[in-house]
Formats: sequence, structure tokens, C-alpha cells
Amino acid sequence: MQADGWLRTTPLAVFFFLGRTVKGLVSNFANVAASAAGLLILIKQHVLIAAAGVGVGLVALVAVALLRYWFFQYRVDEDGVLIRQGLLKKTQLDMRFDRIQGISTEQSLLYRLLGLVTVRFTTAGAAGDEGRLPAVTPEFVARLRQRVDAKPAPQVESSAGETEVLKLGGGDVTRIGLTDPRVLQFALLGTALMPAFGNVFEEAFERAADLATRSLAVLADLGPLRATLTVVTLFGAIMLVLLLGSVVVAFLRYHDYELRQEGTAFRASSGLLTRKDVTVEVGKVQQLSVRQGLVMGWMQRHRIQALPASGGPAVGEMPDDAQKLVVPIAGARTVENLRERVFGSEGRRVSVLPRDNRFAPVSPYAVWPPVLWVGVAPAVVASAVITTMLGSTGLACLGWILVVAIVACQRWRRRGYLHDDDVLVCRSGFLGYRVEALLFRKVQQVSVSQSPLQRRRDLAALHVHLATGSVTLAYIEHATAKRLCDYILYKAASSRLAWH
Amino acid sequence: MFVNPEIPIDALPSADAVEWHPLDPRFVRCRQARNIVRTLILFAIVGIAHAVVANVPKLGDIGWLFPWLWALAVVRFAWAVFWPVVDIPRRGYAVRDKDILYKAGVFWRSVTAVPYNRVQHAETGNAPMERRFGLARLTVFTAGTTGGDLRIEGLDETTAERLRVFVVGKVRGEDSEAPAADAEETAGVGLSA
Repeated sequence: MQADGWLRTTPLAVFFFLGRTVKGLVSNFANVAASAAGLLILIKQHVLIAAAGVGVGLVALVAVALLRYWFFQYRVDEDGVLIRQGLLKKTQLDMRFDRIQGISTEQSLLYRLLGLVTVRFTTAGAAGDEGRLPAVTPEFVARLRQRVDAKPAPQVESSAGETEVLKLGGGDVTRIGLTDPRVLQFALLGTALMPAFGNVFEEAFERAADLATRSLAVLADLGPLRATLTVVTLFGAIMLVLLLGSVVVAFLRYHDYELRQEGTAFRASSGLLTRKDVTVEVGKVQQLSVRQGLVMGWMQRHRIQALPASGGPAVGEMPDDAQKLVVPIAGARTVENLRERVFGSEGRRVSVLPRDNRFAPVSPYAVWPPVLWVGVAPAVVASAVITTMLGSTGLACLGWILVVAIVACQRWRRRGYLHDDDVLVCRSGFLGYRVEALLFRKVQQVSVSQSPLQRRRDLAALHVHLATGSVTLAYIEHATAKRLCDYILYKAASSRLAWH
Repeated sequence: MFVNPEIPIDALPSADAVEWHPLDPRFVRCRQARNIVRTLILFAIVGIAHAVVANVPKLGDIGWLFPWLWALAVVRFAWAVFWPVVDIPRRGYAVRDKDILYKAGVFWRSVTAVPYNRVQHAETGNAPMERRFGLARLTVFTAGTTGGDLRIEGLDETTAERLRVFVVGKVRGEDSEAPAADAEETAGVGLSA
């Protein structure tokens, strides 16, 4: 500890900075891919030089991590937490306790073994203002939480004491894995990127092509029925492997998931190896988001996010779940339970369940703009050009209009809104549903806009800006949009309750 | 004792009823001048490219492109002069007791409102061209994501500064006194010269 009260975290924080440096490199995918490609070429020609390059790179990574640790200092005083960091570009982050929206913790496997955690503060400010304290003790975090909780509590109705809101078992976590499309997306992305690596994979491609040719020959010998069965079995096996991978990822992230309400805060903890702990003050939640994908819909489950006021991820970082409360899977009863807890006595007459039949539809004219601009205009141009070059084949392009019209109709059917005196709920989606719910009194800015088509039909769009993002309710009656706008302004200006 | 009487929705003040203040008329010439400078840069780029292509025989194949580029530059010039005359008179702002409003748009029209008790800070500023015309812009920042800020361009420098002081004063006032839970009429307040 230094004389002026500035502290360094434990030296084990070096692993945290090493991880952040590697993450930074990975997020800058284009540079890493270019370097890797250069290295591959170099390895083929000069193995020793390439090995030396890799060695220098690793030493540089460790050196950067050590320097970042050495120049990282923090101080906790009466008003808040101060963090100083940076070697060349010095920054000082000043987070007052009354501005801290939530304290989250993360415990990697190494830190779990050593009894340490990384703390992350979420504040209501501009992007990139969040601070992190790596490798501190849980006792220190508990003291910090006490300090943050000691400030005036938000004025929301909530049950005192601790209550368990949700606990997920193995079956639920398996469902999360089965409904998560990311593994499949990753596999597709990998397949799409493979040709970009050029010669390195050429040999593998040749082998795969050879295997495919031999497989086709074998299939031809089997007869049509057996061949179809074999292909279906192969496809099923690949899908099974991908889904198994997805389930494993779900267990890594959400094993032993528990959501509790502790006084005026929600606390969610989960994780198999790295255990994450997210705390969000109920009164600071700006927006409740409920999503239901196609598979989730079949299972009658939902994914919920409660977004507190914060600036989003720091510059150069991917957004993650540490900034918001995430309920990865929940039934209808849990969704409504969470709505009641978040909105308290407000919003009792609305529902955030996507299939609620009280949602008012938006105007059917919402179908026209996408059909005209995405469907008709490109289809006519493409049809004219291709017809000139190839003859009547170009007329097939007009089929695009039908595709766009079907998609636009489906999106219109999903759109809807619902409100009472305190809460606005907007629904959208294509195959699944997405529901956004917000309190009128927490709105930062509101606007009403009209396109030429909307003006002709006396329709308008209502744009509501919150500290967490914006929600747009398009193609509603102009009079309704204006009335909602005036009412939102009244609620924002007259509410006695704090918005953050 | 805390009272919270119900307010009929129809009794709320409407954004339609406010008196809109137009932007400074000098903003039309300022915007035209800025657009013309940008178009002249475009003319210069097209001219240099044309000269290079005309003097390098190998590039002769793309010579057909230049009549189209010159036509595009001329259309851009006409647009630069014409559009501010149509667009800027349709913009306006209104200052009320509880919020500040801004309207804009010729084809796509919008009215935006920011309540003072959501304002984080306000600032005025002007680009060199705006300074030349004695104009400034006012930006009102709210919390959170980008897109939630309100920017009013084309104000007289004095008006912009008066508006900034007024908004900041309102924000301080909103901070120091808790807003009443009962309905309050938002009366129009004129500040513009």
C-alpha cells in the first residue's frame, strides 16, 4: 500500500490481465487471422524463425500483462471507488457509490482454487466506464456490497429479506443447450471461413472430396432407400454432436443457476468452472426483455433479460451477461413473477408473455414498405437486367416479391403493443417473439415520426429512448402515438421515483 | 400528506399546442455554403481524375464514366443549393416548463422531446462555417446510449447560450426540488429572439 491510500491487487491479477490481453487480440480477429496466415507461411519456410517469433510473442504477452498489473491501482474512500490504470495512456475511473448500478463477480477455476474473485462495477454512464478489480477476496466484495447498499435505497416495493426466485436443474440447463443456436452458427461460420485459409486446408478439402466421392459410390450401391437412410443418419449424427456441444457450453455457463432476491436487489449466480455472480438493483432496471425462439416456443419456455442503466461494453469488448440480469430459461409463471418483482405495483395490468392475447396489433400498412423497397424495387430491377441478358429466365426474380411479402406479413403478425398507466410493452419477431417492457417514468427521450406513407394513412412511429437503448413502436395511429408521447412526458416529469 | 389524484389523459398538454420557434434564417445560407464547399471538393476530385484519364492512354477505357460523374456532380450542386431552402424552414424548437421539443423533416417528419429531469448536461458549440455566420448548436445529453441526445443546429449564438443556461438551470432546479406527483400544466416559454 502506498502512502496516499492507493492499493494494488494481489499479483495473481496478472492472469486476469493476461486473459484480457488475449481477449483483446481475439476480438481483433482480422489482425490475428492475418498474423496466423503469415506465420503458417513462415513455418513452412523457416521453422526456427517462426518458433522464435512465437516465443517473442508469448514473452511480449506476459510482459504486457505484468506492466498492466503494475500500473493498475485502486482506492476505496468514503464516496466511492477510484481506479487508476494505463502505462502510456493513463486513465482514472471515479465511481461514486451512489452511481454504481450493480456489483458482479466472476470466479475462474484458478481463482476458485485460490479463493479470489474479479469484481465488476456497472455504472449509469457512457460506454466504457465500467471498472473491474481483479483478484480480490470475497470478504472485500462483501464489504463493497455493504457500502453500495448503504446509500439511499431505490423507492420500489419489494419483499424484504431473501427469497429464491428460480433455481435451474440439469433438465433446464439441457434445454438451454438444445435451444441455443450459437453452436450451429459457429459451425456454419467455420465452414464459411474455411476457404479463406487457402492452401493450408487444400489438402484437407481434397481428402474430404475424395471421401465424399467414395461415399456417394457406396450410397449408389446401397439403393435409394438405404442411401436416404444413411444420409439422414449421418446428418442426424452431426446435429447430435453439435447439440451435445451446445449442452456442454450451457452446463459450463449455467450449471447450478440460482436467482435470488435479496432485499432490493436480484442476485444470479451460475457456472461450472468459472462461476459468475451478477447483482442488479431492482429499482435500476430500465427494461425487461423477454425472448422466445422457435424451439423455446415449442418447449413453452422464455429467455429473460433485465437491463440496468449502464453504458454497455467497454470499447473493444464484446457485450456480455455481466452487465445485465439474465434468466436463460423460464416458464410463463416465472416470467410473470419476475415482471411483478421488477415493476412492483406498476404494470399490474400488462403481461410480458409473448402469446398474451391482449396485445393490440399495429396497422397492416406496416407490410407495404418492406414489400416495396426490399421486394418490388430490387426484383423489378434484377428482372429487367437479367431478362435483357438471358431472356425470360429473368422473370423468375419476381418470385423474390412473394418471399419478401410472406416475411413482411409474418413480421407484422408478430408486432403488437400493450400498455397501462405505467408500463409500455412492445412485441416483435419473425419466427420467434421478442417482447420489450419499460416504465414510462424511466424514459429519457421520446419522439414521434411519420414517413410519407404513414402521413397519408394517419399513422406514426413512437421512438422511446431509455438509458439502456431504444424501443420503437411503428405503424400505430398518429393520435395514439401523440397521446402516448404526451403521457410519457407527463410521467417522466412528474414521477417522484428515481429513474436509476 | 402525499396525494396522488388521477389525471384524465385528455387534460394533458399536447405537443401540438406549442408555439414552434424557427431556426435562424442565416442557417439556410450557412448550410448552402457548407454544401457548396463539399460539392466543390467533389468537382475538384472528378476534374483531377478526368484530367489523369484523358492523359493516360491505358485508362481510356473508363472515359465513358466521366459524363455521368459530371452530371452527378451538377445534380449534387443543385441539391446543395436547393435542399436547405426546403428543409431548414421546416425545423423548429419549443421550450416548455418541463421539457424541450425539436421538430424536423420534410418527407420523414419527427417531433422529439427531452424532459429536463432526464438531462445529464448541455453544451453549445459551433463549427468554423457556423462561426462565420454567427450561429451555434445546442446539444442536450441524456443518460445511456447514443441516439438519446438532442441536437438543435442553426441557432443564433446568443440564443444558443441563453438556451443552454436555461436548460442547465432547469436541470439544477429539477435536481433540487422533487417533482410533484400531481399533474402540472406545461406552459410555453419563449426564449428565442
